[in-house]
Amino acid sequence: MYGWAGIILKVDLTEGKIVKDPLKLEFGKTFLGGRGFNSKIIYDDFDPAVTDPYSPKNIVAISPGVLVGNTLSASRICVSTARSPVTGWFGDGNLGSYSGGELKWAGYDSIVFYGKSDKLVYLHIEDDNVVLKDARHLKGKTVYETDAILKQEFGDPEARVIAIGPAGENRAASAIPLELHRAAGGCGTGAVLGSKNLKAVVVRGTKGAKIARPNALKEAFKTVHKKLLSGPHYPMFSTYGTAGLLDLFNEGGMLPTYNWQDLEVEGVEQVYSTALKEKYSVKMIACLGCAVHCEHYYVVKEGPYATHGSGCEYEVTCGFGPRAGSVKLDATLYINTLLNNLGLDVVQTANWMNTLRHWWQDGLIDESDTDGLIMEWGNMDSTIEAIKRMAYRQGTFGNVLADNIFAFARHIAKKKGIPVEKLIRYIIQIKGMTQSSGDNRLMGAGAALSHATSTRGSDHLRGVNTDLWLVQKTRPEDVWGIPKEMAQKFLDLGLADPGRYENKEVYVAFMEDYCAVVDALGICKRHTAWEGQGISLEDMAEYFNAVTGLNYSWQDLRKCGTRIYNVEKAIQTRYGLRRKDDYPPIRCFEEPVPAGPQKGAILDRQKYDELLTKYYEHRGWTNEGIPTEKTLKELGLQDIATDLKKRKIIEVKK
Amino acid sequence: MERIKVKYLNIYYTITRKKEEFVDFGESPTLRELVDKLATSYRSEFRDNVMDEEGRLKPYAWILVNGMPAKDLEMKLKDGEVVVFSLPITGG
Repeated sequence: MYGWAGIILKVDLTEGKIVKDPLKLEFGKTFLGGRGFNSKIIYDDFDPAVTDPYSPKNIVAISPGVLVGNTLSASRICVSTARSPVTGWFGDGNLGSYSGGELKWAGYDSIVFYGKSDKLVYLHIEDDNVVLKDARHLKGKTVYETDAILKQEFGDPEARVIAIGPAGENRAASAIPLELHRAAGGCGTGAVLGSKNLKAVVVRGTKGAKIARPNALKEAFKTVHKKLLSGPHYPMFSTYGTAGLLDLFNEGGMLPTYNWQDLEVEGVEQVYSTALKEKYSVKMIACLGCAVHCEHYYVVKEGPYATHGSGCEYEVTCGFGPRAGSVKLDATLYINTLLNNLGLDVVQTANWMNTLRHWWQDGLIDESDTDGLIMEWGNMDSTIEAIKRMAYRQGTFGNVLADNIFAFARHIAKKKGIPVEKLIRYIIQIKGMTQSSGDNRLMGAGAALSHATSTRGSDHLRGVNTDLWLVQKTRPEDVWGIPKEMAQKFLDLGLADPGRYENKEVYVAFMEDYCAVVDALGICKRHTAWEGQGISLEDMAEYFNAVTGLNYSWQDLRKCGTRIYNVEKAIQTRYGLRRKDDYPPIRCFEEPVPAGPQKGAILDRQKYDELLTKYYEHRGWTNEGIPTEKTLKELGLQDIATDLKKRKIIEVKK
Repeated sequence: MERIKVKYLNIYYTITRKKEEFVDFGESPTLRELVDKLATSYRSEFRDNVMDEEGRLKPYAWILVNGMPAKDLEMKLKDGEVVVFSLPITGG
């Protein structure tokens, strides 16, 4: 077997047992790796009747993509998946890392955690030597402290550590596992690990990657590397990182401010990426083997927010900047370091904090609800304090908020006699997952659909992040990273018009499959068509074939992506999600954009409804968004079809 | 006189080392004329990152006119309008 390491590690934390399950080649060929492996493992091994994400019966799967650990720049994504305490549904997060490579080199394609340990432990992996070790001395340690201690104990600075911080130990729902500043962001799998008393995984592998066709890999590397280095995004990301998006969004009238109430905040240039670069960024750093060094290492030398750290992305500069009504970049950087140390997700935490401010603004909460914190716009000191109280579950405020923002809304509703729907309306979310810093009213109908149908809840990383990629494009070769015939189809269907709803289901389904492939291969999306860049699906197939020795076309890869998406959709339907859960936030239909060049823009409910119906038809799903038996069979997912029939989710014809 | 405000983001800022400037024309220029004028002020790198050898807009050049993406280089610019040069980027 080439490409795959050949073993799935199954760790029973209750019994303290570790089983090395041989990976079946067929499983690799069918689900590729990373997100694909996790989704099928969760489908097969997790009982959907278990609704509590903190039940010992929840499962956490952590898997690097199949291309992780070889020479492809940007192939280092490790995916962490579980039933999410953020949303209550299926959830995962991508960890751009070094540890994914170490895992592969040690000989493992996945780690799956079952049960719950009776004391805090960590998993030690040194090639074939895999043991659970006592982690009680790590209790309460931050992610960075844990990393330093475990590396020292391991005795090898090359060892890599995936850890949770105090937030994960305390089951704060937005807690995530991190490798230092590299975060498996999104769905709170760190809190699930915490509930299992699993503090960390420390891993070192020395076996190397198993490559089927080294010479073909060398050639594929040359092509891709040249594309990356000669493209305009290389200097852009290597200089400004994703923080550069804030400048563009503001100039383009798309920057959400004050929890999506406005598009302006005074002094916004103070949080531009150019300001970050000039005032605080010391150097740029990269993930394992990546040519693009897109992460800032920053230092705030003095003042109340003196700090240093890494990985300042757009989501933090916007989420704890303009969306919070703040332009204090030093405070934002302080918060970024704090979140990384406590082990909290940026996007969810920012949204929760900004929702609190919005409620505060409208008089729905006050000091009596926040244990004395003043949650006014731009007050970043109260934000810092609120984050700490949430991570440590301090006081009623911190304890309830740690359960998640919906739990806090229910708490306030009951306490104050306010209808809970009134409070939830303020939260920009889909399926319980709060949104990244884009605006569904402004990114195009395709992006709105893609965010809404995303299998992990609102997500720009699951498909189309913006329809705007296609604007200005008249020739298929200009649509980078997309196979020519698909690009031509997009242009023929008139998809370059972001305001258009018709035919957008074609674009969305393709990009959802595409992103599933990228996540299963373990490639950073920043280098692909998702970001308008040049690593194409054809390049991925070439790489995949060189590594595994198979002969997949891009269409074969896409079919794997479709399959993975259907597995995830089936998981969500088993949890009870239906059509009503595939809609953008209600405010996008009811509150027009208040300013900027697209003033008045709003989503059209009827047109969206029609688009969603078309999307389901295109996917081969029912009008309620349930994969049909025919669709599942065509994808080789007969076992899932049988299971859904047994559960009466797919109707059995009499 | 027609005065156009020009802003430079990311790689265009790296090339020009200016965040913004005003560019004057006797009469309403097209976007192409603006680019031509800017190309004389800055290294050829500027033009190379806006249009190809045949004078077509580069697929990655993201030019905003008053906040909206320009569809082609022939569009007319008016006094007081704001033109932003950027790469199209997203995701954080």
